[in-house]
Amino acid sequence: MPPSAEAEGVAAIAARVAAGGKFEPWQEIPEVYAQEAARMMEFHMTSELIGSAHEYRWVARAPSLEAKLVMSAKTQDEVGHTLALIRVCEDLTGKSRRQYMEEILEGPPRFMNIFHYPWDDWADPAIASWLADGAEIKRQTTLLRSSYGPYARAMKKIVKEEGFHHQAGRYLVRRMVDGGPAQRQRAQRALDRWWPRILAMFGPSGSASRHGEVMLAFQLKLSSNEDLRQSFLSTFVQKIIQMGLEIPDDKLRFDEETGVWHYTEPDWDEFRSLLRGGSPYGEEVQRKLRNARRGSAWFLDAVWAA
Amino acid sequence: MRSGRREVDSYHVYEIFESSEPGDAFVHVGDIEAPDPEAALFFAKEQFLRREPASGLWVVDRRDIHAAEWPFEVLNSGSLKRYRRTPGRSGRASPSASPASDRDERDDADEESE
Repeated sequence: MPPSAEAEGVAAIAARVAAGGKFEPWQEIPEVYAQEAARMMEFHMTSELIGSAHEYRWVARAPSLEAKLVMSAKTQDEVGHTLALIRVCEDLTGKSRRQYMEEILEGPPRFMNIFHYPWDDWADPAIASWLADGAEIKRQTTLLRSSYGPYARAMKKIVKEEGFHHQAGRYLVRRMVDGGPAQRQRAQRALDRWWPRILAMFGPSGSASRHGEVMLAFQLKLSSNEDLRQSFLSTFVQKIIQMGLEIPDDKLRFDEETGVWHYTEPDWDEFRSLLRGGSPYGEEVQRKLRNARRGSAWFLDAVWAA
Repeated sequence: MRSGRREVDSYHVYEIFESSEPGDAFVHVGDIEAPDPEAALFFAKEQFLRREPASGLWVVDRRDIHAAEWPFEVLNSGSLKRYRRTPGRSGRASPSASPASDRDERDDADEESE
């Protein structure tokens, strides 16, 4: 398609969704819209699955029966989110479950930055559940208004369950902070590690990519990266202070006049290299999922043969 | 590698409907793939009834759903038949899918007739 025709197509789609129009899989969907929607939803779907692989390891390692149950429920929820989203993706792209599983497990690692870092201490899943899920709720709540009907509907279940994860995370961090100086220090160290990674989750501001602009025009994205980050800061800075933890950012301040939060920019080179090139830890998680799938194939074959 | 889903071609998509409280309408909540309706009910329970209770659960093979492919004008035709409304009542009181411009005209007309 020549650039002018493509721009015309983009403008027509933008006008349709601006008037409140939605796209549904049983309708004619313009190719450029379908591609953008698939790219975003596949990224989200893969992130949910990789996230559950991180959490799964902590079901057995969590420090109490209660904490094990919390991690177990969260892991099941996240797999359920993958299932809800993979159905939406399959209906849009026509790819099969098998194709998707191969892409996720054998293909390049396309998932969120936070899943490229190891979760080696109990404080890692606790802080991630509280703050990374809290950050995701900010973004996903806007996606309830997505112009792609099936995705917006799937988001209802997902947003509701992320709320439980967020509350569970806050509870687990509270238990650590109240658990004596050593526990509190572990929670603080985890916050020091995770703070810049969580701020980076929303993506860089300012340098609005062409993709970003198109996604906003198509209402596949409902808020800019920076607006979401500001909203996260407005909610969570206060909550972290109330928790009795210190935010590891000496530039963090709220400008009363402009109503804008100032903060230390996360390492965007690191962010881009994780999203483009992956990481050793991300590969390890992919490999574990691959092996788990191979290891359980005999069982599933027997079940389906019965 | 065998996938564990050799019979994947015999899987169908089932649309899931749930009634929350006794007496509530069944509302569409999502879909899942399953080999038969019985399995679909089990999968749907795991996927959609994770915390809150429900008073009923339906699964419907997607192939048994028939969707109207009419344009908006057809789907909206009922709202244009003003005589079906109780005379004297404002159009504002009833929910309507019609665009704002239509609603304005109707409200104006109502005011004139009142």
